[in-house]
Amino acid sequence: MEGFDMLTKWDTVEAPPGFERRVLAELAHRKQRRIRARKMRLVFAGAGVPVAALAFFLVTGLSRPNPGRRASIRADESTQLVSPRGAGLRGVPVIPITEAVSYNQEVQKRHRNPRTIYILEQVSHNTDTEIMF
Amino acid sequence: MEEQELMRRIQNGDESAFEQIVTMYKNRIVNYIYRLTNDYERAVDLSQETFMRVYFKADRWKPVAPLSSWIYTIAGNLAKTELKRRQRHAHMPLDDVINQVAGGVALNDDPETSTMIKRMRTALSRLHPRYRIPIILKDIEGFTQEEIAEMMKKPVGTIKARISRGRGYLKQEMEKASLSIKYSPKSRELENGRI
Repeated sequence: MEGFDMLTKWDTVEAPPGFERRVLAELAHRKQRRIRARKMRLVFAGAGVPVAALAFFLVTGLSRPNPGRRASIRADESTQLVSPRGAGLRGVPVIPITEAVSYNQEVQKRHRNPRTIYILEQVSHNTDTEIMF
Repeated sequence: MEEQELMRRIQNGDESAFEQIVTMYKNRIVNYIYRLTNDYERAVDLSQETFMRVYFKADRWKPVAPLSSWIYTIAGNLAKTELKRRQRHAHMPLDDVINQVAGGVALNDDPETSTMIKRMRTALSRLHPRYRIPIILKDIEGFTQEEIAEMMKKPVGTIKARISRGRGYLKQEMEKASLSIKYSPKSRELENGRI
């Protein structure tokens, strides 16, 4: 196309001398970096296994009994102390206790209580007299 | 076939084959990125990055397209990223470009032609990359529109339209430049009785 052949007259540039050597040096550097990165990934992955195991142990070992399950204690069973899961935690006897609480009785509504009214009354015209409460 | 063989060896980790690819394409890629970015040092850095990606992603190349298309695509994407990073159109006067190692063709001795080329280059640098890249690939690097469409992952029609629009803009700039030269005070002359 007319005029655009001028683009081909544009000065051309070349790669600098030693370009291949520079590229190969960078290639070697990046290969080493990739190997190091791969090693680090393996190290972190390996370190993650004991951490995960510890977390699992903590979660399962410190878990609370299932709250939906009924537990009762009888006099004849008082000597046999077992956790709801059937095995004591590290051999320590666990006494399951259920206490029925009526929150209707425990929680008193505010308006049922008689309000206390404080009336301050001047009992002496002598201002120098100290008021004793 | 030779390129396919070289790429097959590169996929197996052969660095000597990779060096041959670098030697074959280094000047073209540096020149291509330089024309996109107008920064020679940056063009060399990006060319190096291009070849790094050619090596590490060699397994992604399939011989259905020419190797040159694939390498130019990588180079073009890096250049586009560079231009976006600058957040402005590359506009660097020719006089500021230090090109001590370039062994390319010097500008035309004719000052008028040199000025025109300069203006053309300035106008090209002002073009958005979506127009600049296909024009450079078509008019300078010699790729076909189908190859450019494949490289830019756009339909052929879109590439044709972009090249047409880009050329239209360049043509306007050239006409302005020719008018300014033609009607400059020094070269003013009568034409058919009109100035």
